[in-house]
Formats: sequence, C-alpha cells, structure tokens
Amino acid sequence: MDLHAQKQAFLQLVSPSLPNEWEVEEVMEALAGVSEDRRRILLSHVPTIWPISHTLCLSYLAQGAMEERSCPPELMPEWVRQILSSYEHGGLRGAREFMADIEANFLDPLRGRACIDLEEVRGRMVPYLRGVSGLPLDLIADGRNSLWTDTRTIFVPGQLHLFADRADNLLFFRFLIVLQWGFIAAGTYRIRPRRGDFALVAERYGVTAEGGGISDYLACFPDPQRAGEALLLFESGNVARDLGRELPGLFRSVRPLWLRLLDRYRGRGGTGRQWLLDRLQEVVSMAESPGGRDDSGKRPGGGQARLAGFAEFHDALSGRCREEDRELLRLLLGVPDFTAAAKRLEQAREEDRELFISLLAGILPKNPSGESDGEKGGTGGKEADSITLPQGRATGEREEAVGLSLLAEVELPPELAAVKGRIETDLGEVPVSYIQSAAGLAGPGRTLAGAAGKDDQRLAVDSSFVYDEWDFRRAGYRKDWCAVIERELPSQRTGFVPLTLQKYRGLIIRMRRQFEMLRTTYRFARRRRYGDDIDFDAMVDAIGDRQAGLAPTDRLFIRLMRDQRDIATLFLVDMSNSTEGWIGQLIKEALVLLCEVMEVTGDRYGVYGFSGMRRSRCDLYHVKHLDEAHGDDVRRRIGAIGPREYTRMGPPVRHLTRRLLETDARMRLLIILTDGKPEDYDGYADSYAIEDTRKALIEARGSGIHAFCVTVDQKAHEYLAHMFGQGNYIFVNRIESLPLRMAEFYRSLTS
Amino acid sequence: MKILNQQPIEEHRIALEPFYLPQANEIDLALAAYHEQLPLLLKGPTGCGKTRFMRYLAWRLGLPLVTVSCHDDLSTSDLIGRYLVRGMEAVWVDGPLTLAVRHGAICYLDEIVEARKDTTVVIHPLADDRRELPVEKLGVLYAAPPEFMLAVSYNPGYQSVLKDLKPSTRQRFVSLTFDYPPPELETRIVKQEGRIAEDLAASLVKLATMTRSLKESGLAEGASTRLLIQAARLLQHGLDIRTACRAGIIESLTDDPELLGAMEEMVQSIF
Repeated sequence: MDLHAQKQAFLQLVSPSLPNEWEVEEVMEALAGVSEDRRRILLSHVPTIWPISHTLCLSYLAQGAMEERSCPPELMPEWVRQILSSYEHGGLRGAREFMADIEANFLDPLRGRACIDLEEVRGRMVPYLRGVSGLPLDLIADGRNSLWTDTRTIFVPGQLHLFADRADNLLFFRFLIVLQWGFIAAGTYRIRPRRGDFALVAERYGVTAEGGGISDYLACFPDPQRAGEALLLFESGNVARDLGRELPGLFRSVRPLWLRLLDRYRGRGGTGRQWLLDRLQEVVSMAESPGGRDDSGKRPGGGQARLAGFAEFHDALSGRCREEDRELLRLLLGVPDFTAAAKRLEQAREEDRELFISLLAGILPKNPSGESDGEKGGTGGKEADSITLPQGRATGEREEAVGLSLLAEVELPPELAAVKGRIETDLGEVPVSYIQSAAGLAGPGRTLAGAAGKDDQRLAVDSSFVYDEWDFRRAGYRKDWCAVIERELPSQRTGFVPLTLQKYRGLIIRMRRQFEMLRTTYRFARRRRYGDDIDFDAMVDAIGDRQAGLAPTDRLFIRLMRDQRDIATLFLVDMSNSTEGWIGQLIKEALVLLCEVMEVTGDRYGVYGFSGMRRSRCDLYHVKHLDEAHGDDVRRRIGAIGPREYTRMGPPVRHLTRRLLETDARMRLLIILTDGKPEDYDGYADSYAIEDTRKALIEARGSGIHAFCVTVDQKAHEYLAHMFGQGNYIFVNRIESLPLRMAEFYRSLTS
Repeated sequence: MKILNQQPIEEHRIALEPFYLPQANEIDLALAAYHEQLPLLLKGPTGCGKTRFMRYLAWRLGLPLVTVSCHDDLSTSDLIGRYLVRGMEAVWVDGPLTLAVRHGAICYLDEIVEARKDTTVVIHPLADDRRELPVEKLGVLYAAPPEFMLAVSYNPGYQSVLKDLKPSTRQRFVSLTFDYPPPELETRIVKQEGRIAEDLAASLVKLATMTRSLKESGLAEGASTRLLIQAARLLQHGLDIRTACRAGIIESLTDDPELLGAMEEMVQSIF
C-alpha cells in the first residue's frame, strides 16, 4: 500500500475529524515500514483510541510501528486496553511513559502473571498427580531446570512460561507432568533389552556389550544421553495413546497448545526439524485414535520386541536433528536419566522384596520350635492352616511349583496382594527365592544380628525403666531388653517460640475459636430429675405409663449439660537425626501451636520427645508432663527440642502406655509424631523395627489406649498401614501444613 | 391396655427387587447368618452399598425391613416403644425394634456408632443366642421368631475415638466388610442406576478411583458410588459433565481449596 492510500484509509477511519496533515504524515511514514498484517492490526484499534484522544492515537501508532517485534499480535488488544487505562490515570504523559518501554511496563508483568511457578501450584499438582497415577509420586523443582523422573519423583522446571495465558501454561505444565508419569506407567524405565538387542547395537557401534538393563543398553550408543532422549521419543506415541485413553479431556484441551508450540518451530530449520515436528505431533494425534497403531508386543507385558527398530530410529534422529532441535525434544519429553531411574527402581525392588518376605512370613504357619520364649503364637492367619511348606531342599521345577502353589493357596491380605502386584508388574512373576526366604523366616526364630552382639548381657536395672521387645522372627518377646531413661531437656532461652507465635498469629486465633467449640459441647440431656424445661417426650411417656397403671418416671426434665471431656493425651515426638532441618523446625512449630490451642480445650496433655542409641539407652525427653501447667518452662523446652540420635520407637511407646495407664482419664490418647521408619544402631531396622513398634502399639490398644500417628515421611505408604493399623495414622505430604493439620487431626479425633 | 399398631409392618415390605450386584460372597454369608439366626454387622465407607444390600437381602428373604437411622438423641423408648395417651386411655406404640421382633422382620440400625452407648445396649439380648427382647413397661419378654434378623452398620473410616463400637456389642455379630466395588462392577452399577452410557460410567468410576487415592493426602473419604450415581443423574437434565462432576462429586468431598483444585483438574483431564 502506498503512502497516499494508507493515509486515505486512516483519514476514513477517523472521519469526520480532520487531523493535522504533517502529524499524520509523520505517523504514516513510520507505519510504512511495518508488515501488512501488523498495520492492519494497528489500524483496527484506531476507532477505539481516536475518540478518546487524537494525540494519544497518533503516539500509539508511532509506538506500535516501532514495537512490531516485541509485542505479539495476540497481545495487542490487551496492550491497547492498558494504554487507555494509563491514559485515564496519568493523562497523555502517563500513557506515553507506559508505551515507551513495552518490555518493562507491559510484557514483564504479563509474563509474571502468565508464568507458572511450581511452588504456587504444587499444593494442588501433587494430589492431582497422586490421584491420577494412584502412586505416591512426588513433584520437585529441578535444580538444572529440566524435566525428568527417577520413577518415584518427577523433577520439573521451577517455572514454566510458554504461552501468554496463565491457564494455558498451567494446563501444559500439568500435561508435561502427566507425560512423565506416562513413561513410568508404560514401563519405559523398566524395559529389559534382549540379548539380540545388545548384539545389534554392539555390532552397529562396534562396542562390546555385556547385557543388563535398559541403562546398560543405552550406554552402548555413542551418546547415551541422546539415545535416552531418542528412546523417549520412540516410546512417546504408545505412551500417549495409553494416556489418551485414561485422560481424554486432558488431551483434548492440550492438543491446540501442543500444536501451537510446534508451529512456532515450523518453517524454520531444515527437513530434519520437520521430521521431528511430525513425530512430536503424533504424540497428541496418537491419543486421538485408539486403534491407530498396532502395538502388539510393544507393551510392558509383551515387552519382548519392544526395542525392535530402535537403533535405526536413533540413527535417523541423530542424523536429522541438530542441537537446537534437541532443545525442543527435551522441553516436551524431558531429559531422561535412565541410570538414576535404574538405581531408584532397584531400591524400590529391594524394598518390595523385604516387605513381601516379611508380610508373607507373617501369614505362614509358624514352626512350633519357632516359638521360643514367646508368649503367644502371634500373627498366623486362619487361612494359612492349609499350606504345606516344602520340607528340606527341593530343587528346580519342584521348587517353582511349590512356590507358585503356595501363593495360589494363600488368600493374601490386601497389603501383600498390592506388593505382589507391584513385583509382578516389575519382574513378571514373584521369584521363588522370595517365597523361600519368607518360608525360612516363618521357621525357627533366629538371633538378631547386631542386637544380640556384644552387649547381650542383662541390662542394669537402676533408675531406668526396662521393657521387653518383640522379635517377630521368633514370635516372642526378648525379656527385659530395652532400657528407657527419662531425661530432662535443657530449658533454653531462644526466640523460637515467640517467633512461631508471631508467625501463626492469625491461625492461632482461628484455631483457638475452633478448639473452644470442642470444650463447650453443650447438649440437651433428656429425662433428668431436674432441669431447665419439661421433656415433652418423657412427659407423654409418664402420662401414658400412669394411665396404663405403671409407676410413672420422675425424670421429666430437659437439662442443658456441658459434656465433660475426660481426655488425657500424650504426644510423642521423634527427635531422631533425620528430623534435622526444616522438618524438625516444623514439628516444633506444630507443637507450639498445639500447646497453645490445647490449653483452650482443657484436655490434659503431655509432650515427650524420644531418641537414643542401642537398646541400653532409649532416651525419653520430658517436655511437658501430663499435669504440668503450660508455661514459659514448657515453651523453652519445646525450643530445646532438636535432632539427636536414632528412632527406636517400641520402648518409648511402651513407656508412655504405662504412663497413660497410671492416669484415671476415661479417654487416653497417644499421638506419635514422626518423620520416618523406626531405626536404631544395633540392628533395630526394617521389619524387625516395624514389627516391634506395631506390637507396642497393639499392646497399647489392648490396654485401652488409642494410639495414632502423624507422619511427615514422603514415602511412607508401604509400611504405615501395617505398623499403625488402617485408619490410625495420617500422612502429611505438605510439610508446611503440618502445624495446621496436626491441630485439625486432634480436633477430629476427639470430637 | 391396648397395643396400637400405628405402623403396619406391611409398609416395610419391599415389593420390587432392588438393584444389587454382589461384590463377593456377601449374599451367601448373609443368608447363612440368617439361617443360623445370627446378627449381621455391616462395615464400610459411606455410599458403598450397605443399605442397598440390606434392602436386597430383605427382598430376597421376603421379609419386611425396619430401618432406624441412629443419632445421639436416640433413646431406648425410641427403639422399643412407649405408652401414648389417646382419649382417656393409655395405648402402647411399638418402637421399630419391637415391631420387627414381633413380626419377624429385619431390623436394621444404620450408623449404629452415632447412637449413645447406653442405648445400643438394649440390642444385646437380641444379638446373642437368647434372641429375646424384654419390654419392661409391658412386662413382656418377646422371643424373636426364627425369621427375625438384626443388622447394624457403621463406617470405620471416621477416626474419632469417641465414636467406636464397644467390644461387647461388636463381638456378637457376623461381620461383612464392604468396600467400593471393583471398577467393572462399579461401572455397571453407575450405568444402571445413573441411567448413563457405559463409557461415561467408566469415566466417572475412574474419577472416583483417583479421588480415593487422595485419602492419605488429606481427603477424609474418596467419592462414593452413591456420589457417582448422583452426578450421573444430574446429567439426565442436560447439565454438562464437568458441572455435574463438580456439583455432584467433588464439592461434596471437601472444602480444602487445594484438594478441590486438584480434583477439578482430574475432572478436566478425564472429560
């Protein structure tokens, strides 16, 4: 369009006004340099701005022509809106100042609003991920700002800003996370390459391959990292189709965004990039067509030929794509770390193995000689009676047959069935060695390595309290095994408590009010001998009775009564080494808050910390005795709580059970606050520790004490239900919410 | 003295077969308990089909079903009965328990832990081998006929220590544990009861399964089958699926904004 025609078009837009000729020409010259599209967009806003201020409109056109590169077309309406609003607030000068620096005044704040910060959305993203996946996955901001997973945690960039709209960014963020879970669920990190796969790559790249897992396989490629990325792309189509079936809504809404992002890269780069973009486009279109590709033999179950064609695919990708194309691939599918994933999987496999063995051993019948000094038979289930174990050493097929029939015969408790399911997904079947180990464990009790070591003499019984400890292997107690020593915490003057009170000021006020409602539970007690009002029901009954010739009752009144809460609660706080840092800090904060609001309820409560080393020294630190008044001393002792040694949980639980039994409260509660598994230096670990703690809690329940646990362990799901009993624990995954959750938990327990 | 029967037992009879798909062997167990004259304890999360099961059982046995929803103001007179004055005459009105005992019906005490413990003690003589109900005011000891069955239900998921069943009460019952049905079964239930297409029902069940795995992340209980049916019913009236899920399911589960956000995103991901 020539200058004249352009000027005429402008004059038509602003008609009937007649602006200064020279002013218009100046602007038109500036506009002549911009693209046709841009000019059309800029002029389309003229009718909006012109009536408000002619000068503003001309400045806008001049500035808009200059900023062609920085302000994308889709943001133009928003830019104009903000220009007008700064004109309203600051006049022409204000608007010009606003326009002068489009980057600082317009785009940056917009990015800030549109940008997704993981910390902001983590609170809802983690439950979303866990709900969708059904796995205890975690989400952590990655230090190197990349996207990857070790199969237990998904690491994501701390921030994501790919689109102008915040909602779009959030959606895309969610999708990227789900895609990472998709790779975990599809078993990409668990692929077991066949011998032939290794032979193929060995020949292709001239390396010697020994066999092994997927990370060993990828290590055969010239650039293992690049090979890993290629593998994700190779797998992405099938993963997306599986996900698309699960979450069609997500795919439907993310598809336009995904394509938009790919379009940004289109047109630039060579055919290699086009090829990559087409492959990536398949990710969202694959999900659309459920029957799109024959995938038989490519899923984890039939994983045999899963890597067929991968080496060619890898070479095609490396041949065609340049370094900057890889960036896009990494942005969307992540930067896989197969070695870390393999390590994590191995760890999980080991945990599952241990759990499986101990759980299975628990339901197998005990060998009579196993009950050495035990008092009770223990945990043998009724269904286990029908099982016969292999006698002596069986070999080969027989072993296998026995193992399998063993599993088929036993009706597995849900927890064990879940572990078995996980092992089967991972390894295809439960290895016979697992079952043999379990059978071995269920047999004669063995001495505990370490614990029965050099300090195996009787404990010196002096000022300490001595308790038995449960050894699940022999299904019996070790008599007088642990010494609990009550100690005083040094009363420290720190600013911790005042600071905490300051920090949670608002929350404390709110919680106090809630807890006050606990204290003042009034209820109408019916059928009283005296009271505030006549109980009409009782009256009718009495008249009826009298008519019928019975002696009518004299309980005819309703009385408003305050329910007496007769509750004694002991809080037992884990002071082990692992609570060092912010976990310990938040546990302490939770205690400060709890003490403040507990005062309102009038319930009796005490607080103890525990830690220690070896069975001869299980230290129990006094913070507040049950009937001690809450005051500065208690506050100072809370301030002095800090990480110490190990977590031998059984003895302190037994000791506090004894303390609670000494009280005359009608309701006795023991609440344990911990951050992980029980563990001590002398072999008190894993199943032994879990079973002893479990036993101690069962003993507590047996004597009428309600024992509950609040745990802040991130990966605690497997053993918690077993140790504390279903429904007897809560799990705080957002540690920041511990102080609030803890108080709420107490409230829901006792209301 | 006149005994007034205000509520004819026939009103409690269930005429049409209630829709019920067995989860496991609960029907066989309940029938065995019935024939052995043993009382039933149904436990399970809310909305998983306990009450529906009782209705089905009553229909199957051809017995009337007298249901009492327990609350903490429930007195023994409310269960057993009381005298009322009509004109100048005192008339006795049976409570639901007496009604069921006298007519050989099933008496179902729903959410028994909500009732005060001193009230629930009245069921003790009925729940052991004596199977009798003393009605003090009438001076009568009703022996329960063989058809009579006592059933109670409660939800062990509530963590309040103040609401638990006394061992002396608990240890009289044959216990049936209910849980949310497995996905295929639950899909069929939602499809049938919510009158929706199978794939939609399957998606609703998927959503429910996801919310159930939030239980340890702060959600007291995941979405029940009842809520799914509720959402499905909303769909009948032209509401879109996301609105129906929001109003019918997730908003009913919690007030926590973050959990609500997470579940909202699950809805968006599925539908």
